[in-house]
Amino acid sequence: MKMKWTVRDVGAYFAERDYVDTAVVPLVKITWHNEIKATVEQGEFTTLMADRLEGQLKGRLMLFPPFTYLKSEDVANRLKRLQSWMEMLRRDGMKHVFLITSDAEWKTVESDLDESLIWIPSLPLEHMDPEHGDEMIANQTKQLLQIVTAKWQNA
Amino acid sequence: MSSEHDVSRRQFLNYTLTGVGGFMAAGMTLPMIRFAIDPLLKQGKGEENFYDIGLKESDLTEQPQKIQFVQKDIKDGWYTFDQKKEVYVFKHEGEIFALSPVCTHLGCLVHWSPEPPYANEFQCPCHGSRFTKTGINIAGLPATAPLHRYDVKVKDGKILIGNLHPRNNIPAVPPKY
Repeated sequence: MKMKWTVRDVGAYFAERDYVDTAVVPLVKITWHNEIKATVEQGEFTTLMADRLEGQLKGRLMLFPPFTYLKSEDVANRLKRLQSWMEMLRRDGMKHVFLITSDAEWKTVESDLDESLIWIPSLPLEHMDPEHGDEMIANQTKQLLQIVTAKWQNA
Repeated sequence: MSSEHDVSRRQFLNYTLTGVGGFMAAGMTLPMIRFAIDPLLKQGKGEENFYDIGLKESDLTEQPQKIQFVQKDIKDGWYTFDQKKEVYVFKHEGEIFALSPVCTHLGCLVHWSPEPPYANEFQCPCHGSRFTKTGINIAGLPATAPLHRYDVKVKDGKILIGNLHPRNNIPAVPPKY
């Protein structure tokens, strides 16, 4: 079974909804002006990590499509929009929400996000040989996994 | 002038059209026949899907080892891709086991732990299901079926992993902890 934003997986969610209590939302910044490459690298890494996390814990968490925002959008506005996502998810049965991002700007508003934010610095994967890259990703996934399972246990 | 070898205009056209029509008909029906029998031709190949997971028989231990391997041409809905898979491999009472780490409850990946609190069991991080070393589900927890098991064969001292099988007829084990 999988838990992604597809018709089939959402069908599986309705069959097993008592067991699925965690939402994962990647936060992905978008620009088509300055620093395109760095922004894309961050976004790609973020979605990759979210995908890997879902691969390990697919029975309990649902991977949502990324929350996207323009680089030019001011932080207060982003925060407001994101909070409405989180309110909706919590109201409709998600006990845990994990926001995954490589964009350090979110760190400045971390206290407004109820300890849901997991910030992972992105790795320059394009400069690594595949095996080394795989190992780094596996290590990062493991850390991510520990953060998530620790939160589950403390809840 | 007129002998029996003469071909009339009408006959010539008839022959040509029949000939061309015949080729066209063959061009259409032959691929259709080929498509129809294709699954039969393929089946023979499908049976021998063994993967070298890069582990030697001499590397096997009694403790389960987590090995990653790449399975090619996985189909998921509309997509086909190569997928990285994990398998736990070990020896138990002289028999080689290769167990899938996918929890039979909702599909999270289980972890092997030689340490307490659940020593020598596979545990699921999502909903707390546990399995014995041979992958049998422990009673009273969410998972109600044993971990799936791969066919294993040894060739030139290398471990090869084959098809995955569910094991539904094995009863659950009472909890030790």
